[in-house]
Amino acid sequence: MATKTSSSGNGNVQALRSMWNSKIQDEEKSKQETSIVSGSEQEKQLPKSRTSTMKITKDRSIAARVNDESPIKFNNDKTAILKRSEGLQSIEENKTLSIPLPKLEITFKGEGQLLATLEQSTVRMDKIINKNPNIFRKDANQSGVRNWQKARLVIRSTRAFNQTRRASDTLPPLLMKTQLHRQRSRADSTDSKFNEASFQQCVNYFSKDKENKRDSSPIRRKLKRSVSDSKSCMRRNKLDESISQYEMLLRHLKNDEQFITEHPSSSPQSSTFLKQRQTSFGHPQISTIVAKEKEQEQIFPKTSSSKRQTQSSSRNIGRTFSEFIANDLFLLSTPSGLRSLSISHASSQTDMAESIQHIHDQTAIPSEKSSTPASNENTVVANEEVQIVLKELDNILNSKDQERSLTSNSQINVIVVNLPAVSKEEKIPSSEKPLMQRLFEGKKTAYNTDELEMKSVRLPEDMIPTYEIARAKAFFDSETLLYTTKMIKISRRGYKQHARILCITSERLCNITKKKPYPKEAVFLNQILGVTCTPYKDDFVCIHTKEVHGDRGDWLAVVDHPCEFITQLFMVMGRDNNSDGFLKIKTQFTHCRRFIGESMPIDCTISTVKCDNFLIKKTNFDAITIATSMTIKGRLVNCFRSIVPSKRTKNNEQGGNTFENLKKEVSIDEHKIPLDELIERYQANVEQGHTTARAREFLETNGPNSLTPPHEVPQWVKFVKLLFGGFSGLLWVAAVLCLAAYAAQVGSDPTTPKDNLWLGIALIVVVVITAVFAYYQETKAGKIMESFKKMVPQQAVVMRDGQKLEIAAEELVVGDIVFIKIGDKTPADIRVLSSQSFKVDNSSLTGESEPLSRSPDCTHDNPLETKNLAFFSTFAVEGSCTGMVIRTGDNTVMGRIAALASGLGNEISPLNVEINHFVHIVTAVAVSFGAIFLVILLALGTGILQALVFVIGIIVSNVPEGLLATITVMLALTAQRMAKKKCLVKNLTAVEALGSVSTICSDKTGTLTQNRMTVAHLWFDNSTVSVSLSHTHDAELIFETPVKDHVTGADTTKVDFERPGYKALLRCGMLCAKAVFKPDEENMSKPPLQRKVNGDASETAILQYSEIVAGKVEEYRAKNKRVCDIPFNSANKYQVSVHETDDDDQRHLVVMKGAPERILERCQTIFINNHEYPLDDEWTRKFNDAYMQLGGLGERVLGFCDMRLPLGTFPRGFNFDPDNVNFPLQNLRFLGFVTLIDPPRPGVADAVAKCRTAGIKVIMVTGDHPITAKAIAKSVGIITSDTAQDLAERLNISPNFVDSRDVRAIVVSGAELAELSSHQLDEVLTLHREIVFARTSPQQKLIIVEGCQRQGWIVGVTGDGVNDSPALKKADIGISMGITGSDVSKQVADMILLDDNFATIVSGIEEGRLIFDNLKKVIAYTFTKNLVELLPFLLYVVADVPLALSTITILCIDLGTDIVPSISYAYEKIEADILKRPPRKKTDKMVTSQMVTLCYGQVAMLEASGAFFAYTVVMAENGFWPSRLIGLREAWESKSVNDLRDSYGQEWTYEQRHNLDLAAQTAYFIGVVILQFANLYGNKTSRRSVFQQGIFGNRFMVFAMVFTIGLACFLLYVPTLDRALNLAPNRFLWWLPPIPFFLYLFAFNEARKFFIRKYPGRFPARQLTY
Amino acid sequence: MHLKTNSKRRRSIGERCRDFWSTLHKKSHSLGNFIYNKEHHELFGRDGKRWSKLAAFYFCFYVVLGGMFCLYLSIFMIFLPINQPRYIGKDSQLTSRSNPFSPGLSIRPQVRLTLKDPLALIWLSSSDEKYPMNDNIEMYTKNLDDFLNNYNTNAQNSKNFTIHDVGDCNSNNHYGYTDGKPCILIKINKLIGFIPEVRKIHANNRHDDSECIGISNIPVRCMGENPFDQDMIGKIQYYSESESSDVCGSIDIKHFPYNGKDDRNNVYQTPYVWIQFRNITPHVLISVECRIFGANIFYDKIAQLGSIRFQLYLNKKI
Repeated sequence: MATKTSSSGNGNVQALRSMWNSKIQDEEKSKQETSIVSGSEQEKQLPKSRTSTMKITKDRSIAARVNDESPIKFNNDKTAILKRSEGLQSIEENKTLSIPLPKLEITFKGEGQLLATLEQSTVRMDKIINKNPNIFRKDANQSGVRNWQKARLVIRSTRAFNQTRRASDTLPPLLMKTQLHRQRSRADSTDSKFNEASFQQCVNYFSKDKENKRDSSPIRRKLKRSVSDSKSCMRRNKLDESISQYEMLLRHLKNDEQFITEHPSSSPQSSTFLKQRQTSFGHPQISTIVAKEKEQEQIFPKTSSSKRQTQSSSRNIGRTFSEFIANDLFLLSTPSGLRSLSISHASSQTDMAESIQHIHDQTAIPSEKSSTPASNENTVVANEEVQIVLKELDNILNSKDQERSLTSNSQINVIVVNLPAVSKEEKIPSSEKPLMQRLFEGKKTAYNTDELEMKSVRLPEDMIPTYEIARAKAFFDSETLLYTTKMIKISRRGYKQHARILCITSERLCNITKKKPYPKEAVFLNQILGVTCTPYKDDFVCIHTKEVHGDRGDWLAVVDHPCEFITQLFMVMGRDNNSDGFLKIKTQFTHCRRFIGESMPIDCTISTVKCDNFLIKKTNFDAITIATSMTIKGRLVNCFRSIVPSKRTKNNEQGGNTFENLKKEVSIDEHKIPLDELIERYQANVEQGHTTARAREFLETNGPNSLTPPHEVPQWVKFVKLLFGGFSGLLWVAAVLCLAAYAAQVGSDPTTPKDNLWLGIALIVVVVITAVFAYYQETKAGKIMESFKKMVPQQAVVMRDGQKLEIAAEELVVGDIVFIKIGDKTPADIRVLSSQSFKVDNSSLTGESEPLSRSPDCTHDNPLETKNLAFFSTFAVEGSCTGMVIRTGDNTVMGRIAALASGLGNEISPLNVEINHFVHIVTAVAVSFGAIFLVILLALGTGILQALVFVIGIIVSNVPEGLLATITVMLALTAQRMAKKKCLVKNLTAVEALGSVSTICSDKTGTLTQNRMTVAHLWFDNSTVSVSLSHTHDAELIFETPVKDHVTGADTTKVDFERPGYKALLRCGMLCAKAVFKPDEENMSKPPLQRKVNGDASETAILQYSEIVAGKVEEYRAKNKRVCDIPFNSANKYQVSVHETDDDDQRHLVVMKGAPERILERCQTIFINNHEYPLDDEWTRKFNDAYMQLGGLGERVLGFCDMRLPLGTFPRGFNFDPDNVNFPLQNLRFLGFVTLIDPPRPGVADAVAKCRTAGIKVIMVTGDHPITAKAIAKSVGIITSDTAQDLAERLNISPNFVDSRDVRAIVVSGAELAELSSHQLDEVLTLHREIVFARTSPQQKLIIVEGCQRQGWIVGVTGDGVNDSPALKKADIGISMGITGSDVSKQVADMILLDDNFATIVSGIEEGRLIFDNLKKVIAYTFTKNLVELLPFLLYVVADVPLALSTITILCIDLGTDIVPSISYAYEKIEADILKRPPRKKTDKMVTSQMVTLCYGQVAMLEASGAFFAYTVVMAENGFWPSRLIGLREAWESKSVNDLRDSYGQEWTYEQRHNLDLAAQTAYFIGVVILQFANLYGNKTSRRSVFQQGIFGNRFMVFAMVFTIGLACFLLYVPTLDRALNLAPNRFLWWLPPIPFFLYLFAFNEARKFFIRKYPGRFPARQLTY
Repeated sequence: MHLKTNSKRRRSIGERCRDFWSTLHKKSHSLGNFIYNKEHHELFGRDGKRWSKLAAFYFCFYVVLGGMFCLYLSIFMIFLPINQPRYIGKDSQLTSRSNPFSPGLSIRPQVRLTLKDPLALIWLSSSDEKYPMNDNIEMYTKNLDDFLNNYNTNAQNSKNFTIHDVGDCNSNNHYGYTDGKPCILIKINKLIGFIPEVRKIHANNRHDDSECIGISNIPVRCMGENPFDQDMIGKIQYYSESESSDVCGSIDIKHFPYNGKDDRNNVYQTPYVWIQFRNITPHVLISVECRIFGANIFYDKIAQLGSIRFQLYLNKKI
């Protein structure tokens, strides 16, 4: 090809193409791509072949399809829609329309395939262009009517590449941009003041005539946005400037007249365009057009400066708009997953059921360097705006082509799409809907304002100060700072780069660290040899330098906006082409992921390689994508890169990226695309079903339709971890040392006593028992996946080979036709093909318990809300349906939730964090003590064996062996107590977690509210009546504003039940509702509010209400016989019945209820105070006011009206026909309306208030509507102040002017949440104290929880549905509902509220805080003892005093005498109102340095003194005075010294000494036991006096002490046991020596607490407490 | 209680290392800051004032605690009997369930051959040997001299103990050690209130030598521990207070009981018996067991009650 590029000019285009085509042809043949008919000669066949290539690709199946080697497919649904709607249009038109967009994003490692696809598309393009040369040239005016409302124009330059291809292929847009930019002076543009006005200008631009546009005033657009701009843009989660502008734009563009159809079928016009296009296309069009264009607009390189300005301004405007939209489009697709990146896909997602009308490929096949590549366009445009922009494009391209060469193989695709058509029911005046909702209806993915356009500074806020300093100080006077971006932490050659700022100045490229804002490294631009960019997710940019930096050499940078960065760099360097390969894009790369803290698996490694072979190596991905997008003006807007993993890798990296993707929203387009296309996508057959072979094939590729359990750690690994984790490790060391010491001793002397052996065995037993205990706990934690699997159906009825079969649900594959009837569970995600009053219960997915009807029509963009999808595992409660499987197994909505829930790692509970912290401290102490004294002993010349024994002692004394068991028991006791309070604790540590919770994210339905509709208000007689119903009392009906009693004339608020208006309304309500109580006797004996009802929620509410106020509703209904009935349907939105009344009136009564506005439409009069008034504007206004007021409270409003039919026309016995209505349904009498609400549970408001005082933030996270959510939030006190909107409304200002810092409350809808970056979410969470999240998806719930956890909060989540399960799992404490909760939610939760009452949580919090306090006391209690046990060893070493406490005895204390007292803390009462203090922070440790010093430095010393005193007493009373003891150790322990003399001259044999030793050690043991009692009391309270708390207040504590004494006696006085435990029977008197110390310690603690109370904040309060 | 395992994602070793170093770096930095904070002039998180407060508190605390301890101890010591322990005899810890109140035997010389542990081994080697071991002998003789010193000082008491016929076993002869005929002193441990009962002697004991039984003294007799030792041990000469014999020694019962110190002074002279091994087989380690016999003298070989074991080794016949 390159050889023939010498020709220039547009005329050469055809020649080039044919060459190109022939080349492609060859390649295609070799590829055997049967689905694409190749060959430029076969143009006539193209349409068909093209149609066959139009396969639908959805993002998730890309991987699979890549493997299939199927031809490139893309979502071409718009075309299909168009075809269908055109109906009568000729095939030729179809040809034009169905231009497939080549799927350029996928590159295979085997390159040939890609080439083929690229070329194929080119071929097709050529053919189309050849056929319809004029296609692009449609005169907009000719169309007359626009057939679509808005235009989106995306010009996309994409380049697939692989190793062998030149990466610079992607450059054209870049070059164009730089070229464009060079036309303007940089300084000029930075000075521009028009930076804010662009959108408005854009609007102006489009609102102008085509002619006017040409000479629109010169407007310069600033290239960069200032920081403040973008900040203001991003501020708050809503309504930022640019979006409002966008909205304005859209509003402007919206042509409501053409909005009529739900289908974007609007195509009659387009077909005419097509025809015209076809006729006009056959000439050497391009050149003429180009010429024309040239005339019209001066091509910039040659134009005079003024003209250039004009042109550039218009270009700027166009660019802004399209860029904006393009961004929108692209950004939609980015968050939906790495591998789903395809623009066609993105657009299909967005516009799905709407009309993307044409896909328009434009191919530029430039020759190398010298040639003038032609640009050919063909497009199907019927819109002047689009025309304009496209013309602009032509100009650019043409001018460009003449100026310079584009690189070979470049390709530019133009997609012209239009915005989603607004469907019918959304025709509510736009002002009524929140802006965000209007804007992003149906869009699930984030819209990041941050990426709207290129900014000169791309820095996170925390780096802005650094940037400011740098800007002031770091640069030469001569240079200007042009672009700044953030470098992200990477590792290079083992050297870590933290976040840095990368600046492009006019002279240098600087790299500035945060710490020292001076150029850390800088390279002059002329020293940059080249740039290598990798399109992998990290966007590594390697800047090759001349070796000016010595060892450093090349720069490796990771920047957020690599494309932008490179573009800027190019601009600064003045490069406008890449002919020298300055920029290379490489695929091979070895690098390290930067997300150290995130849960991404690292599949790529970084290696330090020389600059010239700096490569990305992706171990896990087979294909890589880079797509460069640009707008018409040729400016580079965004660079997309995406990785398409092969199937193999997908399996490999489960839990990694996949898992991150799970957090993304469900992206389903199957409900929006036409059925034909869907069928084609899944190769389905509606009549016959799949053939068995195909089903098997699908099954093999896609896997079975079942939930894949997550990778599980083998049980034995868990056990081993428990066996060696925590203290166990230390104890193992001790045990092994024991055994080793014993072995060594036995080796030297067979008669050695077996002490060490027993000790070793005892330690091992302790360790193993602890591990078994913990393991038991752990296995109880349960199997989440099991509970999901329970929800999954086993069998499914499916059509295969034309026969209905019942097969295992696992064997379902996509495209299967399944049949579901009442009582079945939906076996997979299906699209409903046909249904018979089919209703499903989606409660497991959404938490809403109302059955939802399902029909074949797509009613909503949101897959979860549209009616034509039924989801895996949802229950069919009514009717039956036939559906096509669109998702199976893990890909289903349920599968994603399941994977999300089961894939989340267990959060370490806060208590475990604390315990681990404690373990670390103790381990550190033990090890360091052991090591220090081992060294000392060895230095003193002690034998290794003895030193070992000593080390064992140190370890054993330091490890609180019984602590973990104690804590478990304490937690279990508390859990038991909580269970009595209806709070079932599944995971023991959750008890404490609840106490430390600082944020509660609560579900609304069922937790805060009762999850049943109740009548809340009535409106009749022009006044609002509030209704309160209860189980016990009569209904209370109170006028909200007092009304004049029509009889007495006095003001009253009491509602007279005899009021005619009320009676009429009540009658209407009773007769309208068809719901009936379930007739069984048990049910009827309950109060009405608790009776079960057959009927929907609103009717139930009305029935229950009327049963309460009037009674005997069913009897009344029987008396007033229903003669005709028109049931409610969603089209009419009303329900009518005709009755023969039992009053004297013989006329039939027509009663109607339904949506108030619909009812009002049909009314002529309004019934007020027993008079009928004509329903004039005045009354309508009053009605509307009341409606808005009550509707604004989040209540569901039902209107009621009635009418008497004239007796003449409708005598009794008249045959009413409900199908063909033969009676009037107009001019009725409006009676009033009833509002219903799901009322908050009693006590919830109180509980929320308590949480508030306890410093706990209660966030409502609900799937419900924002208004309802807000109303409930207000009624339960979650929101107590104005939101920004309220404030704005109150102050009558725009919400934009309300500073979010001024408002405490905020309501964020799911759609708005989707727009928020995590940073913005953080802001929302921290700035507002009262937050409500409405309309949230399961994924968003998870995101919210994660956001809270990011703030360092300990988060509790309450929820009941399956949809809550990921959030429940992620939360520090998940709380599920016992009654309404789904199995899954109960399984993942840590705690279950048995009474479903939020108020229960408060008592749980109290218990949790108490247990934390008490655990702290236990730890202090236990910790103290450690040093007391350790000190004998210290004295033994330091003062050579015979050992005062043996290792076995230590175990006796730790596992015997201390256990029960420490457990008794579980029964300790609260000291002060713990619900009034703030929740503990994560930094508030259980073990503080104060605790350590208090325990070790003071209490332990006291205890040790007492115990030693007892020891000395025993020694002295037997002859060894304290003076004699010091330095005695050697002789004492020497077996050959048979006559050790004591202080009285007696001579003791070794055995006798040992006997004495036991007695003395026993005394020490007793001392510890007794003094621990004082310690027990000392720790009983932290501030209050023990006497205030009650010495015997804690009965269990008293028992514990008695028990402990008893246990000690048992150990001492049982004959053989005492020898085994190295104890001796103690004389009674020897129990007494510790007593004075007991009193002293007791007094000390009391004094300490006295000073703490007396001088809070002073030294004692700071140092002498924990 | 279970400690949940942290299910973090798996990371490469390299990354872990880097992580570790970076945290270490951070930690060491914060540790440095903790040790001395220049900004606030804080050492270990406290400034001078707070440190001094803390120090003052702890000083007071420990002074009071120490004072308490000493006070209690001194009160206790004041009431402690001076010359005899509070618990003696069967009340004291000399007696336990398994060990009745009974004295042990002990020997002199008792020296430490190793630094740490005194050994019950008498090791003799001649001076003309290649490896002179004279210092050993000096050690033994010095030990015996020291022990016998007590007996020479005051001679006024009737209970004073002297053996008139000591044969070679005197300081001048180096207690026979230089001749390879070592004298070993055997004494009964002092136990307050212990009065041995003689005459009634258990039968069925191979030590029960009729020659030694029947006298009003406590018989002392040494034998090889095993028949082999017995063969090697050669002739033994006993020098007792009353007589010198080659059959058995004796300790006069009149020296008992020991009544503790007298006004914190040792006035009691422990009775003993000299045993001289006259011709030991050289180059053989000989285990010797010496016993005393009495009705209330409990014999326990392992606990060394009523007996003592030691080893003899003569390097070369002298």
